[in-house]
Amino acid sequence: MILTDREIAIALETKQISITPQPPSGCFSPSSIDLSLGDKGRRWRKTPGMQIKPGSPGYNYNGLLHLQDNIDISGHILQPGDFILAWTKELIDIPERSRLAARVEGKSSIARLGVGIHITAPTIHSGFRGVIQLEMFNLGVLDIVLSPGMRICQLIFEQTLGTPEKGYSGIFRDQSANE
Amino acid sequence: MKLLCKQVVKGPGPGEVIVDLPTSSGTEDVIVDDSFVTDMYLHVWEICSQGDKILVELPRETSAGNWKIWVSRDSVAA
Repeated sequence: MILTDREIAIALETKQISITPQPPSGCFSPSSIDLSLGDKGRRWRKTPGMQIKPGSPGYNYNGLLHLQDNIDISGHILQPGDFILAWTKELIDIPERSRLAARVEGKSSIARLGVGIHITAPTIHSGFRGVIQLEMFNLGVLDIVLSPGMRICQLIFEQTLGTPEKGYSGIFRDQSANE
Repeated sequence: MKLLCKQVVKGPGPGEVIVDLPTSSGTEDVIVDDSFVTDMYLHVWEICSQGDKILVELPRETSAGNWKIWVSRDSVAA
């Protein structure tokens, strides 16, 4: 079940969820809340001949960081075909006890320009805390100038049926994996 | 419950760190908000145990795509 703007506001007031800084009232839409773009990004450096094997033993992300460059979002031009990592300005906290999870989705205002903000990974799980990573790309034909604080995505909250297993962490500590 | 990390380094995003974790089948890394890490320990949730191993859930999925990892009982603390 998707929360409406009223239920999102209540969840914020009752600390079931927290968004810091809290978006102004104008960021609420009937069944979502808009988030804004932070000021830092990363770009993968083109490295001819470089192959990575995400499914292989020992694969780790830390070893790939040297293939990324920092970018300043302010005035950054997302050119056609570009792909960058960026993050929301807002820190999101969805405690598992809240029985809520969320999905981050794009906004039609920038989608119609060809800009996407995630690549098949929109789920913000119950228990999530942090800024939301955006996988931004430009499939359009125009240069898109980014700016920190621009409304970049929307968060849709959904009720979960029950509490995730980790919400009961420790309660079944004597239970073995085979039980 | 908290899990002793092998390494904690600055992550790609604001407030993020990359944590190397000792699992029963090797090392895995996970990117988390730095509020989940205190003094080289990562906050985890115990799911179940088997002998001297404990299955714990992580705040996020590892680079290899795992939310739950088996770790040695010696590497966790209450």
